[in-house]
Amino acid sequence: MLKSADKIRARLASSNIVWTSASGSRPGKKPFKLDVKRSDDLLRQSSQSSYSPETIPVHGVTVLESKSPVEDLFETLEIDDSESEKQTSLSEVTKISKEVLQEGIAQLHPKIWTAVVDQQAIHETLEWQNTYKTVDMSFEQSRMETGNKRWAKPWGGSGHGYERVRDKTGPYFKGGAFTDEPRRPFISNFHMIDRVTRVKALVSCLTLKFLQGDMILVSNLSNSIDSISKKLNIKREPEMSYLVLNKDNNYPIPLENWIRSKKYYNLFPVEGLNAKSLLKYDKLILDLETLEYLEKRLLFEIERFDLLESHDEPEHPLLNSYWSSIMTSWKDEKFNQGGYRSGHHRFYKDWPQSF
Amino acid sequence: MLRASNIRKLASSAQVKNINPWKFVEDILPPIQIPTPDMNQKFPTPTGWQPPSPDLQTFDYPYFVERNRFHELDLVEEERSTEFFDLNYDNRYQDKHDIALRRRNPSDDMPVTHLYNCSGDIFQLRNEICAYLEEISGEPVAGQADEPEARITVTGKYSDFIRDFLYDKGF
Repeated sequence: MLKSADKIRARLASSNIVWTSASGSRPGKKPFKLDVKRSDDLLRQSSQSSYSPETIPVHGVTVLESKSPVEDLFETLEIDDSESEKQTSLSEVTKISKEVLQEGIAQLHPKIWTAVVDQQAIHETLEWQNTYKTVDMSFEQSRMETGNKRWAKPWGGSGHGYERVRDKTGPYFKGGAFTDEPRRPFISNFHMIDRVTRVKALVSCLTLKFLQGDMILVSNLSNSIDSISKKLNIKREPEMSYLVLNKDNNYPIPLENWIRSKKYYNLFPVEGLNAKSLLKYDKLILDLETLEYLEKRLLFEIERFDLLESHDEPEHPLLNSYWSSIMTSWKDEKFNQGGYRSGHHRFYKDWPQSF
Repeated sequence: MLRASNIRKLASSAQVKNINPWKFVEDILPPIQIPTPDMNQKFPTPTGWQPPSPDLQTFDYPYFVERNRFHELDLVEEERSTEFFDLNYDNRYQDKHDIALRRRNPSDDMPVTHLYNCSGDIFQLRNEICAYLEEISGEPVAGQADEPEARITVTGKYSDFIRDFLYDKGF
């Protein structure tokens, strides 16, 4: 039944080819070559880079024992022994130097690092992050709480053309008290967003970090982060803030002690990763272990299937008119606008001891 | 005698702690993690499922159709009824929306097929799919390529034919 692809193509008019997402073309693996003598060359050659879209170089600091001082910052992967055994006029002294080298290439999962960026999801998640922990503690003043003096007659009795009043604290005055209930329980603004939206926002922010060149993969999380990030700062941006991700709360102790003194390096566990922090800090520094763990957790969330969530029950559209027909003025009260904002606040002492 | 202290004791007794109220539901629910399919069987399976071919990258198509998390091609058929009032912006018409939905003529609904997770040159893929479907059905078939949504929409219910077409391509 299926005609050959050639016949089908022959019938098609010429169409505009538009390359869209990063996973549009799947070329074969191209050979990797980083032939850079100076740091500027990296930028010049970036447009001709032969990285396939989902790979990123892993940098690390290695200790070299060289017979002559090494001047190049970036070296080729295949280190020619002939270069390092140059004979100098000075006496040959073994020098131990620490250099930033590219130790290899890591492959990233396209669903996380080249996902479609969903700006709506990012916006909703940021709004949620800013408001879900807030509590509305506003209240209305009673007569004693307005700033006006009590029992200070503004004008004596009748004859001045104004109403008789005892003081300026009443509701009829600007800046006076209110007539309704002055106090009400605190209303919490706690609400949760769909898990799908939050995952999409996280994945979008990670994609942005990778595609904008703000992601640094390191072979070993340690003090070497400082030198690596400075060497990779090709555009010479001043005052970069770094987000260093670790798998757990149990950070390696030397790293933790070193970062305590640093102002612009911030340690995060993977559980603490959120959209707001990803957008706030300039660079993201990852370890290979952390990358694996992060990808595993995110892929689980992307690919999971909860049968109970697969079907939803939409609210009946007639509910609002139903509620308003039952209640007359109660529906307009501020504390009756919905479930979580209701005035029937359950304080913690009334919660059961075990759920 | 029934006292408040007695009630608190009942709530924290061992009998109440050991009850798992979700026991019968947990036995019925499937696991959360979707299993990978068994690749040691003969394809296509009796139901007609086929995995993507292992040489897919060598074919070098300008477009690509991914599989969804259930390892299937995401084909959805829909009956598009005419839209009335937009409840997202105005909920005064919620009653009238309900009434109009019930009183509409179902033969005015348009049958439509969606294909998700398309990337690359979606327009060429749409042209090819439409040409193939027109050959089969003999009637004109309209197709919409939506790039930000990664979706191709086709008038008519052709999900099985599109699936065969894509299986033959190797997606």
